[in-house]
Amino acid sequence: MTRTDTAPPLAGSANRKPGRRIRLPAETGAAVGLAALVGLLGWLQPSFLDPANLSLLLGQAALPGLLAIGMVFVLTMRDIDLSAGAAFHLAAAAAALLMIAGIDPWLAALAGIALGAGLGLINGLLAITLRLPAMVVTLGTWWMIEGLSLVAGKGQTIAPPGANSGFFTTLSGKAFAVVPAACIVFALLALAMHVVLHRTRFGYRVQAVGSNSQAAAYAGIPTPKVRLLTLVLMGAIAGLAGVIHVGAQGSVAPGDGSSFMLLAIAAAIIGGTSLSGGHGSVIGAVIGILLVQVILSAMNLLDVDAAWSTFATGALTVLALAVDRLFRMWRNLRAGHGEDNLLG
Amino acid sequence: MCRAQPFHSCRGLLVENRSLIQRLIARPEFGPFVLLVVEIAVFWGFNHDFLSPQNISNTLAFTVELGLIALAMTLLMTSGEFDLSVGSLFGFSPVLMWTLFNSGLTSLEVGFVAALLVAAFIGLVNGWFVTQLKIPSFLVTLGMLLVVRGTALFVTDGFPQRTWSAEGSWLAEALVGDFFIGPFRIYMSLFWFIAAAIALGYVLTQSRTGNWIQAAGGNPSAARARGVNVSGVKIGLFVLSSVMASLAGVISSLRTSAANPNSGTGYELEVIAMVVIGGTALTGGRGTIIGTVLGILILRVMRNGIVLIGVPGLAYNIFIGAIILGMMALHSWLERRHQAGT
Amino acid sequence: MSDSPILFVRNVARRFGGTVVLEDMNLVIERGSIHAVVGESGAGKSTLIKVLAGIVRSDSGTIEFDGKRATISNPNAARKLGIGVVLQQAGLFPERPVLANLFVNREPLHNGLISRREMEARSRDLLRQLGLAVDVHAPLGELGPAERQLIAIARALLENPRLLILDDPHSALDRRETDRLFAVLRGLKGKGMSMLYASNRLKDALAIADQLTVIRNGRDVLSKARQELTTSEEAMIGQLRQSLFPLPLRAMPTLAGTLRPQLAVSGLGGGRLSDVSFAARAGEIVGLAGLAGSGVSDLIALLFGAQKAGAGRVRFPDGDGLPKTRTEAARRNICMISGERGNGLMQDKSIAFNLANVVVGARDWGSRWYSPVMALGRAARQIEALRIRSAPSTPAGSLSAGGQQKVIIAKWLEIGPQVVLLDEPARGIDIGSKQEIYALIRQMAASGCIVLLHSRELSELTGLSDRILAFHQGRLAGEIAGADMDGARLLQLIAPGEAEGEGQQTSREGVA
Repeated sequence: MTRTDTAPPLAGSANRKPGRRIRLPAETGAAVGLAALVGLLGWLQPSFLDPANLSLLLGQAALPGLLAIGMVFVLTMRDIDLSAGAAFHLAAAAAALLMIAGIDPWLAALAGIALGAGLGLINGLLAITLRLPAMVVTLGTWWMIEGLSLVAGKGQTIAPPGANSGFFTTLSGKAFAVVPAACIVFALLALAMHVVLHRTRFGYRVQAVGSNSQAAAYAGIPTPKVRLLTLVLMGAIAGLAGVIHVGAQGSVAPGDGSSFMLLAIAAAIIGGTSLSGGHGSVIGAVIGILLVQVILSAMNLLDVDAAWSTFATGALTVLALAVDRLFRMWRNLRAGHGEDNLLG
Repeated sequence: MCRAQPFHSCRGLLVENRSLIQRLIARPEFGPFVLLVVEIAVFWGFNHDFLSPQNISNTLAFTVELGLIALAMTLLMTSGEFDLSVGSLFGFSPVLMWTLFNSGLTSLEVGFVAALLVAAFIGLVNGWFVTQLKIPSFLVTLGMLLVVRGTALFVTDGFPQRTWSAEGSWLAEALVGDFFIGPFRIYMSLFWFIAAAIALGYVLTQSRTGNWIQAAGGNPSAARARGVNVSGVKIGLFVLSSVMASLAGVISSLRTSAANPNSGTGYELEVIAMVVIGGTALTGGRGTIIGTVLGILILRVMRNGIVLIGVPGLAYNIFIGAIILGMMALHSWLERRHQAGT
Repeated sequence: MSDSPILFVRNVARRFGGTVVLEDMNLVIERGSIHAVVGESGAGKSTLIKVLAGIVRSDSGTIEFDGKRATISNPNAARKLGIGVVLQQAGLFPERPVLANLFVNREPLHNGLISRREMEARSRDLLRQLGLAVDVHAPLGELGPAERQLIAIARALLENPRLLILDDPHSALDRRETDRLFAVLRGLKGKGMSMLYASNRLKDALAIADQLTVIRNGRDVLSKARQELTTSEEAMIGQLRQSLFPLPLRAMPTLAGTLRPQLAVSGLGGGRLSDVSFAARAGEIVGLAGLAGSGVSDLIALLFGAQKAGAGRVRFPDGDGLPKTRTEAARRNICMISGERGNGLMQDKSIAFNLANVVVGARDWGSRWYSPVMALGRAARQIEALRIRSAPSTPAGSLSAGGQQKVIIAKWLEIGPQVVLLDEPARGIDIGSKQEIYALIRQMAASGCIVLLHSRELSELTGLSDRILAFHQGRLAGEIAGADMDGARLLQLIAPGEAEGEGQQTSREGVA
């Protein structure tokens, strides 16, 4: 059987109609959800919108929110820092202990932040030298840092003295009688980090490394340095959150902040930062943490059992992950990629 | 290193002529074995009570329970996944069982089966999220950890559950009946552990399923190209992991006559450390049950040993973290040496 | 046994995103024959094979196997039909022993447990026939690439398929090994096995095939029995490839002579490479030819800083020696563009983002800020210059393979590299874009870069290079330039075998 064909047409790229589609920012979904939820709760239970309650809610959202901002950078780099919550706690404990030892609270706070940054530095160095993803490294350091916290605090609540000192009154105060100090720090940092991520070379590099670290290396981007700096940033922010916690609460209890790490991850993902890296949204993380906090606080208000908050944190995280993934798969399908390869 | 030559591998036609000793040393389990021996020697040197029958019996009792989880975790990690929810299932399952029993609804045995089934279901959910939605197992099981823990707290309102004495129940006898061999107090659970170790060891090394597991972890797309149902294998292993954790929790609860919803906290990391020390690769593709058994002993001996010496037990966490990192460093170094050679 | 063909492929089509890979592909394989499919990379061979293997599903078209309509929806379905496949990416497990690799998911069981003895027995004869004298209990990773390729083939043969599909099975084999393999294949044909053999080496295909199909741009353009192929048709097939290559641009006169910046390599050793010396000047395109395991990939890795050298000295135009890391290499404007586009492109980021990779991301001097506006402007410029058919803010992954490669090249054009290392740059790209990319490569050389080009497609090397360095078993086997550059000479240098020359081969009866 013979068949000849002369001069076949070029079967190269198919013709693509340049579609005019307005692409909504990724944060819209979360923002709409938040607005809807607040509206619904306000209607079901008017006391929810009471300034005292809102102030409490904002205050509770600020600390995991700080962690979420740092986590956005780590996630954008296609990695996860599991030790963030432990670093938060250790920094808080260290700062509190230093204050008990007589050091000026502001200096102790600075030391706490430095400690957080140092822990991030260790994470980064381990990840680079061991050539392992930060997720695996921080699994080990999480354990170690938590152990250190327990040993340092001997399992007790640490309560530094001098509740009248400037440090504590500043941090437990409220601006305009509604917005807690912690929240102000949160908002300022969020704005700053948003600019860093989208308008600086560092932020560009984080996105590049997260999108394709091989390609980034091939282009000359110093991948190890970027990873190191991101983890240091995360650690420093965790330290900052820790010392604010000491200032705002006045003490550090053993269980404080145990769920913060997961909340931070959930918030970042709800806000549009993807696990697959390359894209990150600080604004989205802010909306995300508010959303999560509203849900948790709503459960409180509706007299749901306190034990459910643990359940809810876990369920929310898994749901956020699932929705993020499903959304990507749906978007892939629409773009016509279909199943490129059955072998995955 | 080996130069590629036509038709001759660097080993040539001759079968390896190494002696038995050389072959033993080359095995990945040799390192952990030496570590265990050294460790025991050191602790015994510090405190001769370390090897007393009483100490050994006590240590062994709990070790076996963690060990069951570690065995299942070995297989799961060989396939390339982690399960961080095992600790919470360890605490939740006995709570569920005793709640059902105490409410008068069912007998202890039926409660036991119910707890196992719920655990299996949770494993199924874990597996489904990981394989179908392709979410990293770390995160899914971390979230599930909180979900299960939260449910346990809710069911008990945070208080430890009352337990009746389980004397006379055949289930308790079968699982944790104790007797004495000489000066040693042995629980039935030890035999269950040994049986599980042998069975799972055989599955991993001698059965086709074991090859599926290793292929799924080593090169999933190549495995799929050969028709291996990678998703099915992983889901099955998640179910196994959850059921084992559940079983371990029930055994522990029956032995200590208590059911605390918070028990099991932190076990997942210790179990992973045990598996990793034994030589199973963190990234999957290679697993050893013998290694895990050694790893279980190494860690539990260390825990027991440092308490005996007088180091605060809380410091144990630091050791675990350091060990995990140390082992990863070692694996990483060995990998690179191997790569540089080829 | 019936006389009807064992396989019918009709009007099969498949596209990935924006690229049409297969379009109206037809194929008929006669029972008990060896059918060769020939075409360059990007023509669609591998995708066709993946469709038959159940790894990729076709968008349209029908497949009939053994007279019955067949839906090959997954690898198991292909196996049940009796189709055995050896892919280019063999899908082996380097840490597991050879024996385990041979029987993955097909292990013989005794009482539920794997029987090692039976595996040894079954594989012994076959391995001997293929000339593999290896310790089957050793890990696969200890074998060289040639042996690994043969193991992959053995693995498929052990299942006794009715239709055996081989995708470029001898890319790592030298002449002698290839001949052995062909002998085994002919023997199997005698026993009734049908075979589909895909390759881009026309001469070898002509030697072994009973039937021949030429695939181009995802279609079958020529389908004939080997014996009926006229010499003019043979020439045409060869010709189809030559027309791709643009004429060389004359290097500017001021750059002539030894004053041009050069890359000097002396006594370089590392990996499989040993004692390699050569020099390359700005404006030159130097081709690097060699089989897998010949050291060419090691050379590229060494020059790019991905591997450490064991011996020797290298001097780059900027005066320094070998880079220690890839990042250092990229910062010194030594760039590497490979057929593995995953190494050069950030798929989910926009084209504008990608184009800023080197200019913004990699520089330590200059602005600490990133301006999206400037990036868009830069992108618009490049898109126009390189005829990339897309808007600057679309994700780079939505481009066709050719478009993606253009973006990768474009980001380096912004800076103007000193040395360009190309590793199969046009792999998997459609013909139209290939021409544009070849022109770009010529342009880069003309603008003063030193270009080193490695490709497994010998015609690509002969068409683009000013001269070609041939490597064999880690050493420089020879250099050819000018009129001497043709595929046959090249093949002799990189895959020397017994005295049999290429000329004798084609005249020999290819049908057993």
